[in-house]
Amino acid sequence: MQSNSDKASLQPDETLAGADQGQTDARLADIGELHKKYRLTVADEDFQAAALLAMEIAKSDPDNPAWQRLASHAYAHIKQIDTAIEFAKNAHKLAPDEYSHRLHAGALMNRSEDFSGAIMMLSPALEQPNRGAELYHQLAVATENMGNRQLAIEMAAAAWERQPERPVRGIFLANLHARDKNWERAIEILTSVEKTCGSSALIKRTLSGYFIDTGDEETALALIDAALVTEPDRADFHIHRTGILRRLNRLDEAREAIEMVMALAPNNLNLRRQAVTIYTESGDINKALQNGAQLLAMAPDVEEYASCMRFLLDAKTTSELKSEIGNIAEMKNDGPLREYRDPPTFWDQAGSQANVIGALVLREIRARYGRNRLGFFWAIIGPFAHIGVLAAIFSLTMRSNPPLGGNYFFYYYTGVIPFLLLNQVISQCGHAIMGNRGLLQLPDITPTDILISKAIVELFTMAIVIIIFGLIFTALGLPGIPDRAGPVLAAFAMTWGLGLGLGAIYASFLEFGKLVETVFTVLVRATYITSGIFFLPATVPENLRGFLYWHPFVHLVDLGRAGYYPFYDGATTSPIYAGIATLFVLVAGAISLRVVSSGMRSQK
Amino acid sequence: MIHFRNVSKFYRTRMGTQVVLRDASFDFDIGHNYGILGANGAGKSTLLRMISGGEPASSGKIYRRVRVSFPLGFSGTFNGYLTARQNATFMARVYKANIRKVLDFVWDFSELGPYFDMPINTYSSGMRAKFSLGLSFAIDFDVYLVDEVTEVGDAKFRAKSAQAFRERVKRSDVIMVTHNSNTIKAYCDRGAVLENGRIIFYPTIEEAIKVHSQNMSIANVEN
Repeated sequence: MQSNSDKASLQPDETLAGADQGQTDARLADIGELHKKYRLTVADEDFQAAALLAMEIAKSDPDNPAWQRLASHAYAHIKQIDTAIEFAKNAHKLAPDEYSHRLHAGALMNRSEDFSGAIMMLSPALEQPNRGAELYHQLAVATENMGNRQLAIEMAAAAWERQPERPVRGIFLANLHARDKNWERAIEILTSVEKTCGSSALIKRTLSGYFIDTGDEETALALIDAALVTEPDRADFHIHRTGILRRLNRLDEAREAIEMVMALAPNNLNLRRQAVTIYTESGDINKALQNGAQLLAMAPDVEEYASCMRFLLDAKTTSELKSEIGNIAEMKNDGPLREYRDPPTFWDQAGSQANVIGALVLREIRARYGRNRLGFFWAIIGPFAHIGVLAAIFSLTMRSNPPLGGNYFFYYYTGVIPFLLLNQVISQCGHAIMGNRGLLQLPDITPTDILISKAIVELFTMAIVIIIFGLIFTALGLPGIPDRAGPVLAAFAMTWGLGLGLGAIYASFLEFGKLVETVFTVLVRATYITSGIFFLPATVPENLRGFLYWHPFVHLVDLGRAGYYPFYDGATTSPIYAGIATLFVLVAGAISLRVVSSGMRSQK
Repeated sequence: MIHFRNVSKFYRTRMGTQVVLRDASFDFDIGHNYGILGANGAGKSTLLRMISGGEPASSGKIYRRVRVSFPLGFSGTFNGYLTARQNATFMARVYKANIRKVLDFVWDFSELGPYFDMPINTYSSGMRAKFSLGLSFAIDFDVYLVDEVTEVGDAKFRAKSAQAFRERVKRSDVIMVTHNSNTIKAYCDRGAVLENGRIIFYPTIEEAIKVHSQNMSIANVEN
């Protein structure tokens, strides 16, 4: 079709001759002059200048359809189709009954893909007696592109019927049938074209394509071989042929063939693209990549080549990985499969939790005291300084004996140490989750494990501090080893439990925001002042005492002192209340921790 | 080996509520390697952490009848003040592994030399990655979880870690989440696609990759 239009656009000279003879009007003497120039420029093949001249002629004599046609052809020839259509329409308006004007305008509209316009322009010509094959052909092109294949086939058949001697008419009709997947009919038509017009390479090539579609690759191959005999240099024929070999799975032959042709035409992109496909299919990814890279170097803008390269690189990595790794599935089949682990029993779980807590405790001790030897030294010096300062201030300002015994330092020691234990356990447990969220990524470690391990480390630390203090006091003649160990140990254990429970509540609320930090700081400071570190609860006025005694820690400090001071019995406090309260706090802590524990694991 | 029963998972972001799973029930079977595919933000990493036990479900139950690893190379459990030796010892204790064997393996694998007994917050990120990778391989898990294969170290080290991984994979299973379809194709035999709170399993990884890339191209057209 393209070549037809090209031929048509070469016609201006002939039409011009006719128009020239019809042009006898003397009032436009210079038109003759312009026209002479026009013919000269056409002869010089300066088609741009010719088009401008044709336009000048058409403008200076706008009523002559022949000049309009001339300009239309001139512009069609330099591929300015829109301008060409304007002039063609002018010609048609000036001579609406002229068949050739209609045909010309319609063909141009087809070229500019205005198919509905072409149909409107061309269909009236079907009434004209001198209608020819080209009209039917153009109508077939337009209707096919408008989606009406049946009508297109009818039109193309009419064109072929009128010009059976032109092979293109038959090939066009056959192509339409092939698009309709009616390959048998297409083959039939082409065979008859071959009979009437003699065979050609193009017909053989087209037939070969149809035979591929019918699944008869062998015949297709024979046909393209025959076509290549007459036209051995057609690259598209070679691509077609190697494609057939590929389909026949004769990949080695396809490879050989494409390499041979490519050596002759190394710059043909389509050939090389086909080579990439063949190399890929024959499993030679490296060769495929080489050629793909060359393609991309020659035509870097073609998106299809780029995506082809991406695919190849991907395939290369996979194949390399696979050859490196081997077949994982096979390897697995060699050995026995893993077995399901039995669901853990209660004792399994308890054992596992003890194991985890043990690991956490060792880790914590290493992290806190392992990195420098001073770590533990400070753990002792801190309380010593704390008690020493208190003792110094109070012994200087009070000028009398402490509430119990005769030694301020020892008196504050019995109050401050329990407080420090409580305070340390609360703050260490409270912040345990914040600083160790990573540990919760291991399902074997629960928030409870982390809190308990922190509390155990505090317990150890304080126990050692107490032992060291006890030894020093004993050496100085003070009752470093308590008179009654029972109450002291009970107070120590309950203080630890109370701290753990409060720490768990602290840690739980910390998940919702920092406000709880302020609340706990205030509460712990209030505890420091009111819990009987500095005074004996029994000496507090009755009306205040009831209020103080709500705090279990007040009872615990008093209980410990009763163990250290043989003549003090702490009659006004209740260790049983402290015990119950501690249990209650522990349970509350465990519940609150449980409620938020799954939230603790979520990544924030 | 790992069973999800009516599991839903939502989480809130600034962009609104993200859905990872909606009432999903599915199983991972023993003897297969799984590759999980999904678009960015579909929740693949969250799903992997749910499999590991590090991330709770919003509702439903997850049963693990095997020992599942933490995501390969995960270093969130490390204490920066402790040395590699101490951190490795801790992990070996938690997983009841033979401490001597774990330490020998990690020492040999991680190539830290004298740094092995230095606090790990003195490490470069590469050293830290080598250590955490070594520790992952040192403990014998039934299932290894891999979140985005990250390449560590020079070519020699990469070859070594690939070798170690292969050794593990012979006896253990793998559940893998990654953008790199090559790695998935090479290691996995089964596939799953996670999309819009649904997870669909495919008998071969190739099928899963095909569906996934179709999903992706549809998503692109809609964009």
